[in-house]
Amino acid sequence: MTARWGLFLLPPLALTLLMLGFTQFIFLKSSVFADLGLGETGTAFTLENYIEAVTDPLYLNGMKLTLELAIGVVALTLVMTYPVAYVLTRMPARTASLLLAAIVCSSFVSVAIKILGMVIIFAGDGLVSRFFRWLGVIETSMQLLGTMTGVVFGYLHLAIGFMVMMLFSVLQTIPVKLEEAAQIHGASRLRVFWRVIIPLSLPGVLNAALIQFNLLMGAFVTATILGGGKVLTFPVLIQRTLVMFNDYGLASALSAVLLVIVLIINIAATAAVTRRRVAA
Amino acid sequence: MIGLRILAPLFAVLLAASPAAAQKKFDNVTVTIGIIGGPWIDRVNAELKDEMAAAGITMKFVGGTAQDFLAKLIAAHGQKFDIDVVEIDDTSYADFRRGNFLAKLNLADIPNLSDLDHSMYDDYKVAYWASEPGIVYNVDKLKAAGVAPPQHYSDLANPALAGHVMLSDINNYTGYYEILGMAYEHGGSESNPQPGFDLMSHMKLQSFGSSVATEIQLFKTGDVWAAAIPAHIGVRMFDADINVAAVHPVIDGHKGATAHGYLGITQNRDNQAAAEFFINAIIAPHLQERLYTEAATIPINNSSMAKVVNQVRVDASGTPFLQLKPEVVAQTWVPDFSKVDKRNWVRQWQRAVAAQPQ
Amino acid sequence: MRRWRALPGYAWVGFVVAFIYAPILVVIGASVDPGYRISTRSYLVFPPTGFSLRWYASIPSSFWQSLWFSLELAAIVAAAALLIGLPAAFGLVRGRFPGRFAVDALFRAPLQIPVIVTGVAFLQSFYFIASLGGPALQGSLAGLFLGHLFLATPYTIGSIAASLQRFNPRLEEAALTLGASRLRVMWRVTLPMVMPGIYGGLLYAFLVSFTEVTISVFLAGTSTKPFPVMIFESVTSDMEPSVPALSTIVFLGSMLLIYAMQRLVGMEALLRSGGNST
Repeated sequence: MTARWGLFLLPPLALTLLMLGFTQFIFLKSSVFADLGLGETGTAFTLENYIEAVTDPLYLNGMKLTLELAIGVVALTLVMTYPVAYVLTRMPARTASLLLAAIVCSSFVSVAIKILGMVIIFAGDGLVSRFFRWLGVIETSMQLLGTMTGVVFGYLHLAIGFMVMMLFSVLQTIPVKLEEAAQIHGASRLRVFWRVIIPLSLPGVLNAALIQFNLLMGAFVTATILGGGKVLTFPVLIQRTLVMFNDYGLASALSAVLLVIVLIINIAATAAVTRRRVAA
Repeated sequence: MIGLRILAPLFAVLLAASPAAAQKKFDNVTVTIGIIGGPWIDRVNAELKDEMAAAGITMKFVGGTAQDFLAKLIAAHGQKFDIDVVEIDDTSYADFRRGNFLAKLNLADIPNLSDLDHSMYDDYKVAYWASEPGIVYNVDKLKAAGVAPPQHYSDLANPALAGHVMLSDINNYTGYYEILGMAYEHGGSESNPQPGFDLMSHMKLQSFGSSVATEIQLFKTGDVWAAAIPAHIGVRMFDADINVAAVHPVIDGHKGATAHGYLGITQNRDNQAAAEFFINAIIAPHLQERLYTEAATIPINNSSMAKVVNQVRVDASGTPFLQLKPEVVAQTWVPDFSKVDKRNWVRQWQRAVAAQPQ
Repeated sequence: MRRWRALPGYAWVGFVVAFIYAPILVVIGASVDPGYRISTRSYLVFPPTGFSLRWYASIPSSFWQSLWFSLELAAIVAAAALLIGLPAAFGLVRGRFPGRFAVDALFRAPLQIPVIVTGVAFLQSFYFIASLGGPALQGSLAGLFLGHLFLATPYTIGSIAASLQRFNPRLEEAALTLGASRLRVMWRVTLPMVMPGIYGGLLYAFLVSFTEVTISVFLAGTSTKPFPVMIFESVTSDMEPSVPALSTIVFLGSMLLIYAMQRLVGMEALLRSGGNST
């Protein structure tokens, strides 16, 4: 009986393999040919695209910037949303589902238009700037647009909704009774949180964090609009290479480099968690 | 017998004038046009819709810059391309030609060309709007900061303006003018733009402007006090109640610069005649004047240019935003983009951006 | 007493929700601003200087067409993702064979590849196919469909698999023992139990397709332009002034959609099974 279930996998598996394998093969293929301008490619196998991709400080800095952004935003989002997801799971179901519905609805608004809204909020004479000036934290107007900070805020806005949904489903699996049991045994609320809830949710949380990380490593819309042409993350560089240089070979090589780095981080992170699980 | 010889052509003339001959010029042809997006398309569409419909042409629009369309043409790898008429600019024209993407135009089918100066068109492109890249600055903000109005592109590097200056981004044609301007001001040229990039890499910019929407927005919020953008955007800002003024820097002995947007037809079109009919309509005075009134772009046909000189838009001090007198326009700076090495340019640009103070 | 302790938590949740909604409220506010003359339309005004619904009345037909196109596309993608995801999830959870971990990783792979890389890869693959004489997929509905499907399927598989894992197979066995046929068990016992997972998967897939910008920017054609791409192009060039109005309409529409789902299936059950929790 169980062997038969496996057979169900064959059509989806074949389709996924085909789409994945074929597309990756084609684009990797174009990365090993020189670009001669205006879409013409050379016929000789060459590694010059890759050499440029990994040695040019422009791309190295771009990668560094992208990694910092992605990891920073994921960490920040986790810190912000974990408590939210936790409170939602322990809230009366009706209120929780209302708030979750609100979050889902917020995801339907297009990212580009949300960013325009953010431009106004973060503008020199906008609410955020005036608030911080009132607090006395800064003297002049806050410069968020065209800076890393602005892009971080932009990514935060987009990541929070998604993260709340994912963390909610993870924390849902931890029964309240477990908490209550620990508390009956004398553990303080904080200790319960630290010793029971976080460890139990860790695999799911890491999984969500990884998905978010991957999404951020590939996003270019936010950085393009909020970055004001100054924050050149790797995806932005790739998109510009494609549209402004029309250099398909280099764009493919850059994409391959990005892919490899993302995969390595994914595998390393998953392995670290699995080892922890096994050890524990 | 002789009677027939005289009557026959007479009949032909009568037949041609009869209602039966008032058929549409084209048999329900669709022309897909790729031009600058947004309200620009709305204006063109609104003004030409009836005329095209009467001629049996349906217009379909796609928004994008000349660079976008060039990229799409390159990406199509010679296969069937779905845009008939494309936007071209001075910076990309050479690439359009080199890639053999443009069809040779039947200039005889574009009679309105008679109203255009010969420099506005050739066998592959026809100009349809003009702008004047320069500097636009917020009069009040600069006064409050005690900074004198900028006269040269290099004045934008003034530390007192740090963090409040915007340069045009390179995904738009205007991005070239500011670098070339700064290069010329430091002994460089089209083939040696490095001095311009060096200057840019030391500037603390607010951002790079790539859309009219955000440019106006950032001036309105007070984040940007001065920008290297075309003067006609200054007119739009002035209408949005921002007290701005425009500057036309002197580059290489020329006061101010002029940039043009052109239209060309892509290769292997079976509706080329209809496309040429469209191009003819877009360079007609009524549309050119409407674009001037609504978008402040400068008309490219002589009769409209003569007209709008009397409708000049001025700033708060009474200085015109745009240089409209034909003799002044004739001596403006037009860079020689054939001397620009584009591949290297983009690389140098990205390096300069990466080197900037945050 | 316990209520008071919950206050900081509730306050934080309130703050985060407000944080998410701030830009949306700005957009909604800007959509009702009366605006000035034509030449000044191209920027957002907030707080609104008045109240006017004129922008709602002047949304260009091209935007409506694009919205409709995106809705249709998202629906097809969600349906196809379900068709692929359902057997895949069952096979993944119920099947016993070596290499299950690898198959699981393979199904997740589309989400690990940076979206921009996927865009580039698909675009080039489509050109390759066309150059070989095959159909021109670039800029076509089919091409967009494939690109979106690639991204959406991992969500449906994850959602249904998560729901399935929670489900105790003994219920099935019990029904079988009681004499029900395999098909009847599937229909009457299994499927209803994974319904939340199915609905969740459908919702995620629909959302992913409807809001996808990056891939759509690469794969869109002149007559097949998804709604997010229209908005992106508007924001990055000359702003179409009725965009905030249309975005507000979409937002209100999504509220209706979620409300409908709430009545059908209940949000808690929906989100309990959502995401990838393996």
